[in-house]
Amino acid sequence: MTASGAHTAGQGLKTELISAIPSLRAFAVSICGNSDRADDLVQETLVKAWGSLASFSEGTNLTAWLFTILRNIYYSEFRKRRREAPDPDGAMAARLVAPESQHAHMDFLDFRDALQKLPLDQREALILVAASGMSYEEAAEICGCAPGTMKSRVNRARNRLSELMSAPPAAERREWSSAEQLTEASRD
Amino acid sequence: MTGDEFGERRRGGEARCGAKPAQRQRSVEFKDSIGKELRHLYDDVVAQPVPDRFLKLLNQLETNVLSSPATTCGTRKSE
Repeated sequence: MTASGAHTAGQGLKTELISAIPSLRAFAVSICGNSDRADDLVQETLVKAWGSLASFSEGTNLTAWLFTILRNIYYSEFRKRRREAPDPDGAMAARLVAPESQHAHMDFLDFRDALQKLPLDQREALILVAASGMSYEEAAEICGCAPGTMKSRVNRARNRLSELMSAPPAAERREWSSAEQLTEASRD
Repeated sequence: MTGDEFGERRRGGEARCGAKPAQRQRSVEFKDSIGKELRHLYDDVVAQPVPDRFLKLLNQLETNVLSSPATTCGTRKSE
């Protein structure tokens, strides 16, 4: 399949893109913890993917390719936000915790709160492997790390999640200021 | 840790068939409560119908490609 195949392959790829959207949305919302933002991420991903369909090699995993694009967008937004709102302690930079997610959806289940408190690298590892069903190898490829690293991130994420979920009630945590939350998040 | 039973079932490229992305078999399945919560959270969203905005978007992208095959990157909105 060549780049000029974009015309003829367009229809088929469109159908495939559509069938990948549910997984893409699930990945996005699990990773950012906010459904509106998740759908914006999905939208950007689809636009970007469509623009670079020529670089997609037919026969490989379309969903994994889309996840990679979405992840890159999320990370670059994350870095951008960090530049715009400097973090004096470096706590956020160190832990890569999405700062606004705790405030945006206070009605979220405790589990979701806990998930959003995980460092981003651990959170995405856990979501890719334990929720989306990727193998360690596939997840490692998406995140650009070794399968062994992926495995240890998943393990650390699970341990941290168990700790977080057996921690003091969520109501108590919600009264903390954002700065305190970040400090807390960095102290594991 | 023996609590992490999972079947290593490689399903390379299977998602491309695309009919049922939600039904993709998991390579690794954690059977503890964290695994269950994660799958629940994820599968809930997977089970939702594709929002119209995305179908419209893809139709739009398709139209753009057919009329100007060079690139569709210009359609990306800046914030």
